[in-house]
Amino acid sequence: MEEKRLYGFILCVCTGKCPGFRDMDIWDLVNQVRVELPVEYGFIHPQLCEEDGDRFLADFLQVHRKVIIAACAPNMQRKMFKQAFEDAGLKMEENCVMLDIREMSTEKAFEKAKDALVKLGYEVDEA
Amino acid sequence: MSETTFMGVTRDRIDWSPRIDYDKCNDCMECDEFCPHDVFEVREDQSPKLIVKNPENCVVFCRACAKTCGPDAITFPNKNETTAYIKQIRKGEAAGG
Repeated sequence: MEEKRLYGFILCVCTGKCPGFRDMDIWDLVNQVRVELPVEYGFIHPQLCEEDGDRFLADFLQVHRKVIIAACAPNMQRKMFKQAFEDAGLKMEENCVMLDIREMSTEKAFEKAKDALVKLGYEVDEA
Repeated sequence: MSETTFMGVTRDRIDWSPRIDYDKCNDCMECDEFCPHDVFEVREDQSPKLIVKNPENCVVFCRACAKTCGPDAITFPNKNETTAYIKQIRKGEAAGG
């Protein structure tokens, strides 16, 4: 059986100065996700919604790997990233799982990422 | 994570906040609904209803509220000019200014 291709995980933190992420340790979160959860990789982007974020997505989406974007509200993410997915020939709804992790603790945000992966059918080590 | 500085300069020295064009604004309040930092304030019984109450709560170079605004009623300062100004302040501080 072909092994299920893993998602990439992007933690977008609104320059790192956004009070919406004050209750979590963004480094603990991204390290826990990329080490403990079944993702291909995990990293922090400071501000996907800015011009350099558009340029990054244009490059990044060429790989056609599905991605989880943990950031602000999904309706916002759709508005800001949909075009980048379309430009890469991808439908955002099919290739991106959008998580709103603002105003959350590290633990809560990690649980939200884990739940999303379980829902996608990935096995998660509960230990 | 120090929230008081941005690119090495204290937030209070950086002019970055939404400007509302009241000729275009239709009071939809999407901006206020999106922004979790209380930058805006909605005053039901006053005109204009929507004001920028806490400009320094706005995350420098974040323009999400402008991107979510249907009638394009929100603008921000020029990013390049703001960047140049931030670098100037930092240089001044480095030189003991």
